[in-house]
Amino acid sequence: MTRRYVSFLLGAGRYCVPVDEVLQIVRPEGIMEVPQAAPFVTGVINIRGDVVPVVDLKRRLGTDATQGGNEPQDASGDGQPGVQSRGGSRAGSRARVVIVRSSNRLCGLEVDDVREIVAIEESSEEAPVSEAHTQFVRGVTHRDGNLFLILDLQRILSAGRDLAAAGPS
Amino acid sequence: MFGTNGPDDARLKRAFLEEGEELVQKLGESLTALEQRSDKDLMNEIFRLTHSLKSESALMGYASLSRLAHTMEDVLGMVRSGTLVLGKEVLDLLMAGADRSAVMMSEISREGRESEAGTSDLVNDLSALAGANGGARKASVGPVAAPASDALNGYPMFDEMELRRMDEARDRGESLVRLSVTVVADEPMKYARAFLVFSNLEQVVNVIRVVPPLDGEPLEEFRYGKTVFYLTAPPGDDVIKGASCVDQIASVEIERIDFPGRPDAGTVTWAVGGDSLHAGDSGIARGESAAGNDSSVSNRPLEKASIRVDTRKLDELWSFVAELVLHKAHISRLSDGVARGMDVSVIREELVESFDSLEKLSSGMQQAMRDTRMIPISIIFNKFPRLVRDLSRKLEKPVELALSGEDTEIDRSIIESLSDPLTHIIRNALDHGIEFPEERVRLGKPEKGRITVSAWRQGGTIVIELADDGRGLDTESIRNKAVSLGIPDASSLSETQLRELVFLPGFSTREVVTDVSGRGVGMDVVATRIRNDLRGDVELASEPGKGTRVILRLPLTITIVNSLLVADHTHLYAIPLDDLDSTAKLTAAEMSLEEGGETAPWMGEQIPVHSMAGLLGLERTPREEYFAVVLHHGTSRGFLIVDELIEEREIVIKPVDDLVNPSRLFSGVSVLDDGRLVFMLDTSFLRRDYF
Repeated sequence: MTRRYVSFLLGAGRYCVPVDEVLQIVRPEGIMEVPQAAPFVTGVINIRGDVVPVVDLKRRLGTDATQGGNEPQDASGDGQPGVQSRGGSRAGSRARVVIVRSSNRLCGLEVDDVREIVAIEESSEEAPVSEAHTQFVRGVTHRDGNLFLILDLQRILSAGRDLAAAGPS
Repeated sequence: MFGTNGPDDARLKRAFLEEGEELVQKLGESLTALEQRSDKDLMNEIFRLTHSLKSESALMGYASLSRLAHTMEDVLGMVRSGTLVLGKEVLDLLMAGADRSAVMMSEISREGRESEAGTSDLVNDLSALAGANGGARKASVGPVAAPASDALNGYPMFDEMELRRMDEARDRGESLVRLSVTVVADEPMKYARAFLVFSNLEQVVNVIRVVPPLDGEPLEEFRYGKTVFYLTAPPGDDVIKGASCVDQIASVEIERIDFPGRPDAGTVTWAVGGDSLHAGDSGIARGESAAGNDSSVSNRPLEKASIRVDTRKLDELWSFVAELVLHKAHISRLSDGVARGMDVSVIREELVESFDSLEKLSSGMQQAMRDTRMIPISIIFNKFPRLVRDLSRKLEKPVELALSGEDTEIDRSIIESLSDPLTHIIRNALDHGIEFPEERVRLGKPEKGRITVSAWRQGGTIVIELADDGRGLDTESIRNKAVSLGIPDASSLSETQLRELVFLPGFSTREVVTDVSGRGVGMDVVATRIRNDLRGDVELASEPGKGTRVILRLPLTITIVNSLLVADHTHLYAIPLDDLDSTAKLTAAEMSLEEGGETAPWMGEQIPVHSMAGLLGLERTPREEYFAVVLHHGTSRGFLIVDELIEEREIVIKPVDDLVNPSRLFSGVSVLDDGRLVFMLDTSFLRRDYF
């Protein structure tokens, strides 16, 4: 069976999430700072009245290094307010926030660029290879010579249990 | 001021617009019904509605609107008397008249005035109709010289009791006085000032009427700088002046006026005003249009400030109140018992019992109160016959509409956001779903299309289903559109996936796709409104050739919490009034550092002092004096220091994700109208060991 995914760039990596979990894709504008948040959360965004947390996906996956690792602050995880709207300037005008719905929760993922919809045969999915952020990757697949990492949204959004492990490694 | 267009009294205008809106909607509905069956009662109802519209708008000084209603009334009069046959042309023009009236009302509510030429085209058409068929009647059609207002000469519409009191006063040799009191503009408690004047006056003279009425909703009157008292007094102004001499009054005008004529001796105009609820006040609006009023207030768009509540619901609430009074009496007996040295264990037992039933009572009241927010969905459904009729005529597709479950009740806040999406879905069904009659006949379907709209309650959800018997969702044309828009692999999407595409236009990146055409134009808007704004769900079911069903599922109610807004460290927080004991000022000297943390005295005991900053893990800015609130959670109490107390507000609460609520300090979050974010505080932190 084929499943369809929205693919996007994050640093040098290609990632994807299932199409049916994507609600909307917006520009990283109007992200509001919040008084308390998990350390990998930039703030919240108002999606037509819903207050949706925005996840700094690079930090969440621990792939900061690909961008030069220039934002190591707030690594203590002590719930300091997030930094306002960093997203806009980081990856230029192609940066987007992908609004996803997973187990009835809404969440925005900050990504560098949204690429395309890819159809992936389930049989072609492989178990994730050993990588630093394996815990958030459900599977990998090769397509047109590129490696796509399929994200595990549930785990990315699980704030409570692994908050401690969430900071950049 | 706007001359004849300028009744500046915002409250009167609001009342007029609210009543008028309902009136015009009923008029439209009745006209639609009249098309189905010619009925004498219905005709009378339409006549009555048109007449009210005419007189109310004339009294408010909306000449253009009242002229339209007047011409409609003329045409109706001819229909009723048989001089004009009620044909399609006549009905269309009357419906157009009702529609235009609605447009005018929204214009008045938006712009604060009507446009002069707003109705002249329709007035001409209607007059032509009357003229062509009735000849002699033509002369009577034309501008209405606001009949009621001139003769009213600025008096309110006094009722029988008031007139009798004035008669008696006249016999005593007193005269009628119009006293206008204007409160200084920046006085925040205008109502209180006006009330003070009123109570002073009551001591020395007979107050007949106060405009605006002081027993109305006080909050509303906050905006009013000017209050007019009608009173009878013996000659001499000193007494009145003395009574009106209150702080913060900018001006006092005393004017002796003639006693009004009795209605039986009066002119037709009394009778005209007689069937309008607001005629009395409207007279004032013309005569007195308060010069000191802030025009920005009167130009404010109409907000639904007043509501209609089913009397059965009020009765239910009343029974709770009665029970509450019983409990109060019981507790008061117990406290007497304490004084008389009654057995403490008995008192304790009875108190616990009393508390238990109070708890049940309060949750019952809460439920009953919530129920008053519920209104039948027929409010929306009633618009559909007209919508379907107009569209079906325009598109030349005969369609039959069946409604069911109109009595299903739904929260007011949801109703308002529901009208547009439902209208949209019906429009889609007619435009894209239902086939043309020839095609239907060829397909072996009944010539007339059928649309059914039903609503019912299913547990905590309201289900609304809109079904048509048209051609079904054209998934192939959606697919083609998707392919042409470059959505990758569109050609291999399944039916279900294609249907979802209708709701997710280009996954909503506007740069990729703006709309997926075919059936789906604008369905993304519907989906967003239902799924995001109303926290419900929408789903599509379709069978090619047989029709389409759109199923909406909505929560019964949206949670609205009365809260106190506070600010701290650039963020806003809401404290539910239910959890709030008081606001307070706390000086550094009052606070003492004990083993467990800071405490301060409150009602004779030391209670913990928290600060918003502290809860958030930030430093509290040291000050000499702090703003604080006293909160409770169950029996735990504590101070909470904040930077600023802002105001009370009703807040629509949405769930807050754990990602931005790691320490569960908040129970919800909301975005205010101005886009600011508010977190609702969960007072259970008072129970935790925060020291």
